Amino acid sequence: MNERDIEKLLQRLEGPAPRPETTRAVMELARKSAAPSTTAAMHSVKARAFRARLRWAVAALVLISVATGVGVWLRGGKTVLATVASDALQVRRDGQALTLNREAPLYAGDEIAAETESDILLKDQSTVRIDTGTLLRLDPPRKGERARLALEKGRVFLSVSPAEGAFLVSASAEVRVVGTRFGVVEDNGLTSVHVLSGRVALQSAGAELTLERGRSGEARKDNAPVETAADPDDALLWARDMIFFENRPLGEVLDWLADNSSYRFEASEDLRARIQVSVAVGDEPIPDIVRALALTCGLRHEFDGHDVTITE
Amino acid sequence: MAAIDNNHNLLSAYQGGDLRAFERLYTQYAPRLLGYALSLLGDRDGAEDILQKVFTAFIRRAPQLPPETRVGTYLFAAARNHIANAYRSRERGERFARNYEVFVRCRSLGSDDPAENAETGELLQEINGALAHLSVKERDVILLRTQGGLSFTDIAKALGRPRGTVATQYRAAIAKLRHLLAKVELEP
Repeated sequence: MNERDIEKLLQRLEGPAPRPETTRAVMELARKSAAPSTTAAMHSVKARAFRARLRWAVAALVLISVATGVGVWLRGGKTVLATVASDALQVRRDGQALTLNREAPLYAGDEIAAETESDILLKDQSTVRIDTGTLLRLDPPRKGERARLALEKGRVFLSVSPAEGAFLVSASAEVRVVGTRFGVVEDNGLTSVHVLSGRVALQSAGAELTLERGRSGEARKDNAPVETAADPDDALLWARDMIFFENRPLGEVLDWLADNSSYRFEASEDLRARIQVSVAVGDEPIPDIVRALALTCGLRHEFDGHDVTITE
Repeated sequence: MAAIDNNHNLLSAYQGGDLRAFERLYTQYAPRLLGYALSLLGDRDGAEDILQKVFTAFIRRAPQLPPETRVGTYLFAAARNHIANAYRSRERGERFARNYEVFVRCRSLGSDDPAENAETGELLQEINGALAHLSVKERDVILLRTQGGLSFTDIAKALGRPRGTVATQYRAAIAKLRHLLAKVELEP
């Protein structure tokens, strides 16, 4: 048998059939997602073009709403606080268990019990990714607030748009936000916060701790919050999308990495546009991804904390 | 290999909501991905978990994938990422799934002739055994190339190694397999 024969044989080998439960779980998810919606496209390769279109669509929607005098966020006298942005979200409403699909409205008092990783889009365009097994309640915002979420247990990752009004996540400790991306974990009375960008105030027992990009902190109920050494990027890997870039400009990849981590990247406009990259980005640490990128593209890289400079 | 990479139509059909297109992609790739994961992780539960994660991510990302996406390359690169994470989270040794039939059949070798089937079965056992003697790195390169249909450039990007290194490792691993299989043939 020569080497070519071995290659041919290897190409023809077939692995085992997956277990029925694996196939069932995958097919069930595929069925639920069989008519994919564009609302999930926020982090895609075409995200910028999508966002531009979305801005026009939102503007048009606002104009139509004003012109017709219809409050699109008001239905049946209840205020819509958010909409579902993924499939099959388990929600408890007025004592009833519901399964809601994309675009379904969420009201004050709705309790989300995510059975799979799910997304919701808040009224102010902030997004919340909710991990499997998380319990999250949408509370009515108080005066001067734009959103109030109560995290009973589990993990959420928030991308909060900069806007007027306080944004609160209450767990055992309280988290106040302006415009930022961060994660909150509630685990048996311990609230942990991990910040990817912006600033977050963690409040507990009358004390406040301000956390900036690349910082983590935690607070136990009735104890003052403290800063911890946890790497926010590692802590929030669960929430990162998997994406595959195929022959895309380096700048586009760096922008995506910056949007999905606490890292900032510096590279010349020439490099950003000229170097074409194919890379699969999963839940690997950002330094590993940067090293692989630099290695395969023949580039130099230098880390200064969470700031990365890329040169030729 | 061409059949594996020419799945743009299936992807487009699935993006349009055709579930049968997804089922065909799953049927085509799931056993290969499972074999790949199993051969690197060495445990069936972990490999099934990787398979489910890969397809869950694919289902979520499918609406945004460009139509020219090579589905096989995408799925194997994703599997490779998840396997790397599994290695990080659990200290795994250099173990191969000896207790499992990683590769259970040969496509296009199905025959009504019992003698031919027996020969195929022996061949599968031999190649399974020979793969077990490769390092994880060598197996990784070989299976990404032959099972996933990835080009050397794609493998280099997925593994973060230079293309030349990957090509050299692949050739060396194939030569090692040949040597191992020749040894089996010589033994009584």
